Amino acid sequence: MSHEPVLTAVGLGKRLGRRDVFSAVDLEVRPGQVVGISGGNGSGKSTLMRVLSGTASATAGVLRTTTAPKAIVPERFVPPDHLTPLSYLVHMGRLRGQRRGQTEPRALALLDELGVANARSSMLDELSKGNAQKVAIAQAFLSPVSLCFLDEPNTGLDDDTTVVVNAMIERAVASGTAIILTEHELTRTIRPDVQYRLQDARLTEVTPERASSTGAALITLRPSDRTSWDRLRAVAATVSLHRDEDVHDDDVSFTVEAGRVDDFLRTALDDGWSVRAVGPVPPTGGRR
Amino acid sequence: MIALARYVLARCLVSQRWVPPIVLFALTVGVFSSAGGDAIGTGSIAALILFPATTWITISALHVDDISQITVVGVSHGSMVRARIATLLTSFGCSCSLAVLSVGSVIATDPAHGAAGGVGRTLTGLLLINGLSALSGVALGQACARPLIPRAGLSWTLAVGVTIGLIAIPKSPLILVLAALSGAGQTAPWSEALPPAGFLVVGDLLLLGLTLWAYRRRSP
Repeated sequence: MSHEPVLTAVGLGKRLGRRDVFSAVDLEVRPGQVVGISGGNGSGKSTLMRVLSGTASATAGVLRTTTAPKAIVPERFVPPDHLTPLSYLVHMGRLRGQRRGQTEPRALALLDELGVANARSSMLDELSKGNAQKVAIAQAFLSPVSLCFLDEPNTGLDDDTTVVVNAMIERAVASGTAIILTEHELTRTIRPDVQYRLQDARLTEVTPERASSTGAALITLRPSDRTSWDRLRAVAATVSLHRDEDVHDDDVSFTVEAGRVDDFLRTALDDGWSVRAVGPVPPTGGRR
Repeated sequence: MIALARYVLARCLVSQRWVPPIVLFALTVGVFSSAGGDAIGTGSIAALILFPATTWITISALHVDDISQITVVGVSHGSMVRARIATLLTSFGCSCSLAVLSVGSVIATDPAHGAAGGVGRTLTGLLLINGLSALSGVALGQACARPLIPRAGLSWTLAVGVTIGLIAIPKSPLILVLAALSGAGQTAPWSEALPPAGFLVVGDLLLLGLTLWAYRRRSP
């Protein structure tokens, strides 16, 4: 895997009318890196994504991106009408230079993984918002790309699907794809390698110290006869779980983002888990 | 490029936005061919109608997808401008297909089968007239489509207004060039027709270049 940056932005700025949407953005993204950008409503995350993806021009600064194939999941995906998900995905695969024979099995597998296989012959404009979003995500992961822009990919998705999408991101990253993703709060996505916050037109890196002070909790649970992993996994979208051999044979420790602790604990108790301990994550925790 | 052309064609075909311009063009060719006049005269009228038909096809092709899908296609294709050019080339290709059918039809229905001024000369004249008409239609369609003209109603109004201006005013550049080529397709020397045709091509390409530059600046 090459370590040359797939995206370099220097002093990037975008001005709309008299307002700076963002300014002096410096960013470098390398293969296999996950860059997260959070920010409130109207903070300019989507405009920044459009500029970074080359679909809108910057009013200041320099942007260099790889010429290798790229993909994007836009913030608001309005699917093309009169096309089925499968025919749409086949067209998108061909746009990236794949043959129908390569694309169709891959498209079917992705639709199946995302839980929309039974809607593959429906028209895209008849799909619910969540299912249309799943098709948007499927097109981004159809073929290997160097850089993937995910603009609030979890919009309209249920927790189960969020887990699937996170797994897709993990696989893409493992194969060298760089990911730039935005969310209001990065609590439902995989933990980025580098995390930024866009606020008051400035992109600032969220330092590890700050992330840990606002972030994760270590929760140790003990299963009972009626415990179910499925719901817990669905809620624990950003969890790294590991058995803690030192404590008890059956105890399982989860690292849970701060914003999801209440949901996680409620689900765990509902499903028969016994809470053994809740505390801060030690500084030597895993990457994600 | 071929994949994008296939996608644009599929989108236009299922959306049925191709029906009105192609029906308009087919009706014109059918009506004028049935009179059985000389090929270059009938073909010139068909080529004149090819201009608004191509503008219509181009605007339809550029408006067929929502901005979010245009973004997906642009990023997948490698560049928004390249994707736009591919869509414009697809429209031009569709118009050229219509032109070939039209030229075939008017030569077949001409009693002399285009031999009055020489078959080669007639054929060259007709192909040049149709090609210029298609190129001008694509350039006008691109200039009137989103995002340069953001409202669909304004796009169509502007396109219809400019089209009427260019084909109804006797001294408009398009009419002058088509008349010159029509004459050259019969007996007039090519040296009189080619310079104004060249100017029209340069004008169309300039308009396309400028609007693509503006598209790059204003892309969604």
